Amino acid sequence: MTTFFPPIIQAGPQGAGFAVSQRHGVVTGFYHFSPVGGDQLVVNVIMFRNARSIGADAIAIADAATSYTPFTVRVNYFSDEVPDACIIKMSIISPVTGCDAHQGSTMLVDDLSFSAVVSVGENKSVQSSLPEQFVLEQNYPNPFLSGAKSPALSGGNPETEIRFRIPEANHVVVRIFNTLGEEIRMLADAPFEAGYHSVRWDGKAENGQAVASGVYLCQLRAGRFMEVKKMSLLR
Amino acid sequence: MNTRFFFVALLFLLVLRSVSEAQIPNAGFEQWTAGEPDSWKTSNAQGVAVPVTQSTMSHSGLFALRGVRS
Repeated sequence: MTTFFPPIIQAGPQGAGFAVSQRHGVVTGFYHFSPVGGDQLVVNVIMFRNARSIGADAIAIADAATSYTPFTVRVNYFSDEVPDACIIKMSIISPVTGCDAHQGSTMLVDDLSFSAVVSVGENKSVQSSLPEQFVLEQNYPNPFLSGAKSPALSGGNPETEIRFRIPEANHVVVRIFNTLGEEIRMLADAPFEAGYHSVRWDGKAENGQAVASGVYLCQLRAGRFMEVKKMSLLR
Repeated sequence: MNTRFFFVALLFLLVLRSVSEAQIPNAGFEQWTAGEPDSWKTSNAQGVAVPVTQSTMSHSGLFALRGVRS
């Protein structure tokens, strides 16, 4: 039996990142990319302080590049803190299935670097004032690895963070569905103050059982607002 | 005297800068051990599937990282 694995690489000997001591604002690098079936090369950067994410961003590259081409990921900080660790993750995913890529998709990556240090307040999401509209952000990381099948992936992200913004106090319901429309897990069902919030999902159903790899839908309801984001879970 | 002070100050600033700038470990993917890039974790399961490998098609240096959906 042939086993297929997507190419995933994550900074740190155990994929847990590396130490930093400054508010690095930009990660740059160079890539080649030969996508198959609309696959995308995804580069995620996340900054941590005391194991808590304080800044992140990602890019998804869809266009083929047959010579080395520069890429830039600009870190958006949502805290004034200085990070103490950084995780960089690169992978090829299919935006159609939300997870595993098509056979033959190939990337080359070289010469990563930090190219800017930002002061407190720079690269910071505007969170000093209340949000102006309801927003359900894409979960991070996505895809996320939970109890991975591959031993090499077992150090992956055990959970994913789902952020949302509400401009006024409201009762918020955040639920996870599978692609059949069946509810898998209720992550929030409570009143929330206006502002920026987040919930986390560990890849488990309501009964505590780990769910299978695949695409799941995260639904946010707050009053009359409703939005859905697609998430990918890899095991 | 002024020139000497200038060079000492310049040297101090250069050392301070190099100490304060954290670097991405093995950012050019030049160091590899047993088929794995040092300081990175890959989805390779040696002997089963190895989607991440060393490539000599580099942007600079000798090597780059190659990832293929096998």
